[in-house]
Amino acid sequence: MPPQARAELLAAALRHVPACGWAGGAAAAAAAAELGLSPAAAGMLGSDSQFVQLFVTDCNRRLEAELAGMQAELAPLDARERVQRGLRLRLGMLEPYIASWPQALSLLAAPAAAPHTLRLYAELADAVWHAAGDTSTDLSWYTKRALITGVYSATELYMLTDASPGFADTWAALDRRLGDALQLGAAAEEAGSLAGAAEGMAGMLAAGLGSIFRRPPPL
Amino acid sequence: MLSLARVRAGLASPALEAVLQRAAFSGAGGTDEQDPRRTIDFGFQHVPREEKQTLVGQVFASVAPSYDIMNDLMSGGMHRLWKDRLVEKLRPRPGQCHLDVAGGTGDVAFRVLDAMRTGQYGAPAGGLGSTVGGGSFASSSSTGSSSTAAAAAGAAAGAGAPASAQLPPVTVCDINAAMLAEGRKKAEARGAGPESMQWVEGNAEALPFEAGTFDSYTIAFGIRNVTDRAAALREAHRALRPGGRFLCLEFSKVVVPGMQQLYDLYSFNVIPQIGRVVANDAASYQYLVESIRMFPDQESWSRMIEEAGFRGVDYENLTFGVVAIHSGFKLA
Repeated sequence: MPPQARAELLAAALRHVPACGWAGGAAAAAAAAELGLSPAAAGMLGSDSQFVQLFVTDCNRRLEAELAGMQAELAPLDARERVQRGLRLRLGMLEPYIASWPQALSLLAAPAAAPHTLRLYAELADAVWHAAGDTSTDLSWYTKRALITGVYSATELYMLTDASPGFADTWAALDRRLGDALQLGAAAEEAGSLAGAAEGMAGMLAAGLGSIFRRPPPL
Repeated sequence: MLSLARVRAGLASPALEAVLQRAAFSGAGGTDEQDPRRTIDFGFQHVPREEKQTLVGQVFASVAPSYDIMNDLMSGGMHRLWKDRLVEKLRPRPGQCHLDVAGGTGDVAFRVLDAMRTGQYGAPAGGLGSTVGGGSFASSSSTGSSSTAAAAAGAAAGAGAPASAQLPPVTVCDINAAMLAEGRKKAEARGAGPESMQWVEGNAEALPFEAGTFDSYTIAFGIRNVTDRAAALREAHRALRPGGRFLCLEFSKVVVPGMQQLYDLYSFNVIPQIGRVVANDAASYQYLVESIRMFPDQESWSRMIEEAGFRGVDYENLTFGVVAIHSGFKLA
């Protein structure tokens, strides 16, 4: 693929997502028509799950770039604040698509897509920790990233049903989750126990993903 | 060249056998093999370019009536899954114009048509497919605007392709009348009339269609038998609209160590025997197996597709690489 052709199609398709949703290739087909291409060009964005994953990848790239450009702004903050800024920036990228994001999450969690999705979430956590100035190379590298992934997923799910102006409740929830996670992280490090943290995160993820299917539709 | 005279004159099977038995002669001293511009592979043989089409024609005229059942027997039914995967990759949407080349018996064409009819990869009017989980959330808030977006897409597609207006959704093009006859029979049995399918006798190297006619092009287990593959790729590129997709399902190179030997054992010993018993034609199936080995591997074939002007070329191995699906897009 000439990368810009696919990027152009992806950008156009994302504009159609609020109207067409993520599934069935409708957004991509509408985008192809808009660009004067055959609807078959929708295939450039792959399956429904791959389409969402392309969006997630694109968001991660933008997050890395934006955080890199914010170094001067982040420097005076402490690690927790920097992590919070990073996560808020990343969650903010979902705002235009929040109405259809439950559908996207179900596509991301589909069995065939899940392994790649997990990698993308790890990449996200990595970008956030990197911007927070984390240079650890010991076991805490894993716990830190696992914890941030958990915080991100939990807050992402909270955001789905948040009707407060400017997602104010979501940002408060993010703050609380981060507090929990840092406490848990400290405890885990003290005990030298990776298992506890991993289990905690796995539980959170499982509860989070499970709740996608139970949550009532937003008003 | 006695054997070639027999090919022209004789019945398909004895003629083929004669050509296949030529191995000893042409391997020893044939000038054919030393001039790649004038000869082409026909199984493990090299035959003059102008002969391959006739020889392949005889193979398929000979196997046409038992083609489908032979596919099932030889692949253990796997070819159905491979073709399903091909159509799944294509995701044909209603309103698209599809060309299936070398698809005489309609195996792929019927799958594409069914996918369009059931709208399984997206209906033209309703943007939101019903996926698991949250599909319904978004639809409640945005059904109205989604139909307008899809309608706009449809209108734009229509405006962009005046030629496709008169074409049925699926066109099957095959060089071999015997194979097309089998396909027509099946279409009749399924009630797929001329409003949904057309059957055209034509050569993949010179498609009888105007440029920019089709949204998608598939060729399943066909390109191997084409004499000038580069020309066939150029023609595919010409026949597609900008944004159109090229998909090719073809035998390829087994990528899992150890499997190659098993696969060779199976294809050189079992397949010709099945051909002998079921189709009463071992020679044709000997050709089939040999031609598979002579076809370029995944990477070389990708390069050829790129050279024909396709972009975003990639491939997916199925069943350890026994077959591969190559995909490319025409962007300009």
